[in-house]
Amino acid sequence: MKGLVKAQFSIGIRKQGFQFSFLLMLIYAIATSLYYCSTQIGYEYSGLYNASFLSGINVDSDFAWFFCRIMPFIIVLPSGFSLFNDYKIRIVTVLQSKYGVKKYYISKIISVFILGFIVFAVPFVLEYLLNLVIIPGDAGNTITNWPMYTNVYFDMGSSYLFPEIFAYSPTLYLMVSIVLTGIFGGCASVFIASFAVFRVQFKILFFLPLYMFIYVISILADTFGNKYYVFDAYIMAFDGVFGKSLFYYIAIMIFLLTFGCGLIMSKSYMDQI
Amino acid sequence: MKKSSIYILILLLSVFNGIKVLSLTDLYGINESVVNNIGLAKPEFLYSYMTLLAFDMFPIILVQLVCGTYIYKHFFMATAYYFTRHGNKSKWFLNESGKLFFEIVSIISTYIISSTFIMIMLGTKIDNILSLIYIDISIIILFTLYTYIFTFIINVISIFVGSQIGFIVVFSIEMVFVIMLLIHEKIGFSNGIGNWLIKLNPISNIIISFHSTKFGFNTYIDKLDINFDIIYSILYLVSIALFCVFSALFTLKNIDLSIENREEIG
Repeated sequence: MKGLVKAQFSIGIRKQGFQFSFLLMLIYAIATSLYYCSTQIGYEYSGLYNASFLSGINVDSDFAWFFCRIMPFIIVLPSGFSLFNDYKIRIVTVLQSKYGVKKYYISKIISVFILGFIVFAVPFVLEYLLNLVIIPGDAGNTITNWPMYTNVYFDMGSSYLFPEIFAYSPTLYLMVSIVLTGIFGGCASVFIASFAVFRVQFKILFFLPLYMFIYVISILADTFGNKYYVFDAYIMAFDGVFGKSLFYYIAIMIFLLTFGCGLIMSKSYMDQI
Repeated sequence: MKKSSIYILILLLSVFNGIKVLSLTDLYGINESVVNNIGLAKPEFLYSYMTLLAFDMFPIILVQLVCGTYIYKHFFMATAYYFTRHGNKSKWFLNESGKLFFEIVSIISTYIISSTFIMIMLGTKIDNILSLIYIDISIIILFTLYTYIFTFIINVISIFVGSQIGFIVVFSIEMVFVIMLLIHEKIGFSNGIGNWLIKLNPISNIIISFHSTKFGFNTYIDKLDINFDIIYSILYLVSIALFCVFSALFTLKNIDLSIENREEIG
């Protein structure tokens, strides 16, 4: 099983979709960091932004809206076509006969999840490391120009998803947010990849399920309040919408993962070698 | 995707539009509700508007995803069988392009009319019926032309590199046009160049509230006061569409068989 996951993973990272989406996220993360660093040239030391806040997933960043809008489409690229490609080139039969039907699908789910996680977590970690090289470690401003560790700072933090972690260390908060974004990317990748069981003819249709899901959620948010906006309020870090619920965020991820796994595993009972 | 599934999705979208305005039926009449919720309105050039705009364009993106393989599928499946039985490929291509256009007209009209109808049924008051008919027809024509252009481009690009790359390329171009709205705002609209630049942006041509009309319905539109006639937009989009169709016709004349499976790329 471990060998099969490794094999599927190594096939996945060689695909153009994964490489393109990873490169795009990396360019986005680094461009955000360099943009904010360039705006601080000539600033006094006391006015510099802290490295933890110069992140592409910071909702206060000037490009966050752009990231939120392209993410539902970029999520498809790393591993959304993985199962579809296997069906098309008929490698499914070879792998299933060698390893078994169930093992094949379980390893597929694991490799798809890992590929999705990597694309939406690793670039932002690399971005943080770049920030640490450029910005002094004890710079004390946020990108909304509030100084750190003041009353306003803590008031803003009280509306974030992990206010205690944020109050303790914004770096730790950023890392937790990046991991959760990566996990969302993985769950969404499994959700999208699972639609290959319907034997769709064209890859373009894989862009539809997640976008529709996010659109329906946004309608709910329009009706019941901003705290239900998955992308802006949860995937992005440092978001100040009040009333957010970690349970809601985890429920969305569990739904995506369970739906995807359920659809894929239901196919495992229908496949015969 | 089956035709019935597409229309069911479109009707669901219309219901969602109705739900969005449920709490605002006392505040806005039907004209303003249509302009705001279907016509991509609220022209404040902020980042948050760009976010809303990108989401309000979902029906257009839905049609692009669903119809993005309308012509491409003939190049993808059984091409030798199909094209040896068509004497005149140019005539066939123009015929398919026309059928795609009417398919998109049908879907967009269903969306606009059903959304308007559901909003009225949910209690939005009708303040000016003539203005409503004018605005709805204008939105149908502008959305159809815009959607047709980009769906057609997806089809053509898909023939060469596959449907997923076709869609990504077109979506990226659309996002560039959305971002350019922020640049238009910095340049300004009152001076000559700024005025022309915003009119050349295809996205501006489908935002109904940017437009003006000589028929006395400017109460609900013409928010920017830039003398942007709807007729100009229609002619502009029609010329782009014709240019795309005849360019593709010229390019695709020499493609006979799809030897490589484009869906296996990437």
